[in-house]
Amino acid sequence: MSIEVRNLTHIYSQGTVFERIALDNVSFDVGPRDFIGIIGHTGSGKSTLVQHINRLLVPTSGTVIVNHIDINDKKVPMKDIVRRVGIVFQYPESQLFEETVYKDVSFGPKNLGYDDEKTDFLVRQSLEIMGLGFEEIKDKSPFELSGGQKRRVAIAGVIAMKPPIMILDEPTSGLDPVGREEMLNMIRDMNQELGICILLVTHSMDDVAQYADKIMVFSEGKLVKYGPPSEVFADSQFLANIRLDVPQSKSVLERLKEKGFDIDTSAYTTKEAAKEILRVFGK
Amino acid sequence: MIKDVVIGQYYPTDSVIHKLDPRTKIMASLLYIVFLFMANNIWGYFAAMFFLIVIVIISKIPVGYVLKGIKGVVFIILMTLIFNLLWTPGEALYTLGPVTITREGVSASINMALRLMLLISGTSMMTLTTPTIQLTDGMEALIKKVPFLGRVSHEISMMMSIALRFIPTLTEELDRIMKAQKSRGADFESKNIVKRVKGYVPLLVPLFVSAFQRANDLAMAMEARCYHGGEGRTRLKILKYEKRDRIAYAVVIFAMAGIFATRFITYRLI
Repeated sequence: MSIEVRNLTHIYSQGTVFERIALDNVSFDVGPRDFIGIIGHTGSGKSTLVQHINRLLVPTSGTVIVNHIDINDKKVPMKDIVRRVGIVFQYPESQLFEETVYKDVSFGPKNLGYDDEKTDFLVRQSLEIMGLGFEEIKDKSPFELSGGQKRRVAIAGVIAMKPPIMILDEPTSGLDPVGREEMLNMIRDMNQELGICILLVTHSMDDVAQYADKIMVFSEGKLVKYGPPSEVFADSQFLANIRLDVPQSKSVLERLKEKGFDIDTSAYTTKEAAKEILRVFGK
Repeated sequence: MIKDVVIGQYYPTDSVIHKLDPRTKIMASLLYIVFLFMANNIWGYFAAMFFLIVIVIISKIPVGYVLKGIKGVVFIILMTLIFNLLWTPGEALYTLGPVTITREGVSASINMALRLMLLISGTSMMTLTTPTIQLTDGMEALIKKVPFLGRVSHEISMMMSIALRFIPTLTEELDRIMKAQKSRGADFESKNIVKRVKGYVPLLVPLFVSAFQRANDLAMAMEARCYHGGEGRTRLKILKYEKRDRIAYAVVIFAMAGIFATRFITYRLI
């Protein structure tokens, strides 16, 4: 399942005093099993972009093609789109509403018209993927869970629709470091084991450096860079100009180089950086 | 769609109307409402409309913006128009089967529709030209003068300012929840009315949960800063009537007298 975006432009409140260009002529391709990181400063157009991929927003101009279907074609029913593209919004726990976790997670599959048997299977599977014990959690009220559990239930509610493409907007915000890593590992597993194409919107350079195959960099509504992490993080000056940082491990290497050590600064994950530091300083 | 709500919205320009004391504007709006209900024929509405048009021109607010408020109640206006048109007894103008349109019906429906439109656009002029903080300050000062109510004037205005302050926050929240549930296949546009009403449960439950959460947080934050009501509280900006307010009062009273005078016009347009 691939995504093709061509010349996508979105203007908010066009023709009024509040007019603002949120996306400016954006084009890109995403392959079927990619893990894409989307980074950019606040207001750079990231969230606006992802809402176009399942027709929550309609482009001012340009096309969005998901699996060879133009999703802004009025003949395509919304159900066919949400079946393909799942979006997990920021703080997804705020969308919980049912009396029990089971009912909440089955909301999506039921809306798609699946029968009870299939729904049951999907609910079980998605709660499992999110690392929640089905039997112990299914009858609990979503409102009595802890913050981290709520979020997992909410994400399970999107996974239960089995979308081949999943978009996650800041899924780790507000989580503690352990919860953060668990969440990102679960997302990676979805990508590697289930073959779900992931688009991860985030502020954290370290997260995308470690997990993403390719990175999109947005600045003022434009897609200014799109490539593998090694390429995107190669030019830290460029990133600084659009008010973004490089991953912490890379900035450590750069600082060491500034201090006069003969060190290779191309590593961007913690592991590789550690290896490089060990190489230079010996053990 | 939800963004079209104009209630409580402020539109900044540098007009005289904007500079008026909020108390002047509140009193003028109250008088306007009272006299709008006193008008009993179309000439009264024409007089009120003329007054309103002058205010809109002076305020420099685009007309489209003022009319946006009417858009939200177009349905109600249409309903009153139809009901009055069809069910007012009187001198028959036109008959088609069981339906009779009367002269009184035509005039009553036009008057009602005009009254509603003038009411809404007139009162939205107050909120469009006054920032919410000023508005609630003005309310507080005015309520203070009312016997009995005066003792809780600060509490009333505080409640009002909080309510107004949270309108945009909650609309944004609603928009967010709506998008999230839409991505889970929720259908808000179903033709089936039962399905449509049911479809609002996944919106309203999260909205209420978050509203209560916000209320709780706000109460905590106020308490943490030792909020204890209006007693002994001083203000940064003290409301003071200027010359322009006195002129405004004079103009308003003159205009209201004009609207009242139309009651004595006997010439009927319809």
